[in-house]
Amino acid sequence: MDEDQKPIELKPNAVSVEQPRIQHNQEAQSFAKFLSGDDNAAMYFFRAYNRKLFLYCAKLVNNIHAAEDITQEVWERIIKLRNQSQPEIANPGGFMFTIARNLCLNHIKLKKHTIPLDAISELDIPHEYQPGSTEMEELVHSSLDTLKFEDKELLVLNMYCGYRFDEIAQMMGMSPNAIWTRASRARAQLRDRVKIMIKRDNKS
Amino acid sequence: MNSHDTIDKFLNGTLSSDEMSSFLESVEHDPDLQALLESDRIINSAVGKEKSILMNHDLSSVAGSFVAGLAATSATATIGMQTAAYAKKAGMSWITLTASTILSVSLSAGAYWYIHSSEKQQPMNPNRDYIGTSFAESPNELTITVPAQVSDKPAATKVVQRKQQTQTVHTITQQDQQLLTEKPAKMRLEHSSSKYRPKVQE
Repeated sequence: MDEDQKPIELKPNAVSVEQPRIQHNQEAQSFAKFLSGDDNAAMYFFRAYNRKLFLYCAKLVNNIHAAEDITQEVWERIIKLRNQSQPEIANPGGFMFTIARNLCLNHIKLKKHTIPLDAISELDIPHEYQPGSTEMEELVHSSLDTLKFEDKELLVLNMYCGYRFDEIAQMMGMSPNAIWTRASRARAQLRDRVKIMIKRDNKS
Repeated sequence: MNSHDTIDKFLNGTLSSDEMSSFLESVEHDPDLQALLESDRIINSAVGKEKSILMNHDLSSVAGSFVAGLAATSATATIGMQTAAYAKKAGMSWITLTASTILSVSLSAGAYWYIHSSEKQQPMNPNRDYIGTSFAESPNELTITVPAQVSDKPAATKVVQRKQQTQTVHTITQQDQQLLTEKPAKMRLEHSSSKYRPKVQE
């Protein structure tokens, strides 16, 4: 039996990946320690956020090497804040993802202005690091890239970084309902595109 | 509630038991809903595969630069991060970076030690000619070392009696007075094409 034609497994919470629990007060205190020079707190944040920041950047810029550079840049910027008089950051996760987001947007803008289509290397192809992916799976990735930046960002935070929608809402300073609506709309677009492909595939 | 909303709620486990049973019933009869659920399964599988690849991606260079940045925070945070960034651009792994740092530190320490120890222990070469003066054992004697020729002749030394030198009295003679009163020859600078050299007027 082909992998795409397996019977549908009806399990609730099929989307859920790791479910990080954000405890903002504790994190804010730890982040304050990090900024005041505590290396243990720094390592805690690095372990907790480095991979998530990388996943986030990798999906937003579609280039793992650029994502590495951006992740590094995020940490550089945070380290530069050490031993400087800073107002307390209440939402460290949101703060870090905001830095990453701005850097990703800068990268996308620069790429738009400077790189001609012919000069795009294979590294910039989003599915380059997925040798075993099926046509349908490739379609999912390209469909994800066609979404609006904000919608794509939401899905990436949810599906790749493992944040729940209420956590994303808290990080972005938006209402959970607004986030839920936007994420549902984006996911519906993805589903519809894949559904069309399934129908085409079945007809052929 | 449209089918997308129902699927999202189903996937998030927020459907009530009644809604759940009616949803499962409708899935069995509705091919459109089945297709949507199937596409959702494909999305999850694609995301899962890509995520597992990205999760295994080597981020040691980022970790290296972070640690370097932390270490350098007390002195200059930027230098540490820049060093690590250069190392990363050069394709150095974290292990290579650490090894090269240790090597460079030990080399510079060794060079420092060598220079300082050789400065202290530099001996006088007895076969070499030196120009200089030194006091002999007796405080009244002054030893003057005169450079020898390039040949193998030993350096000539002259021992002068210090007392005699100090006791010498110079008397000004007539010849000396004439030399003192005599006007010095006028000097004229001539801008010749060859050299700017002073010439004595005759």
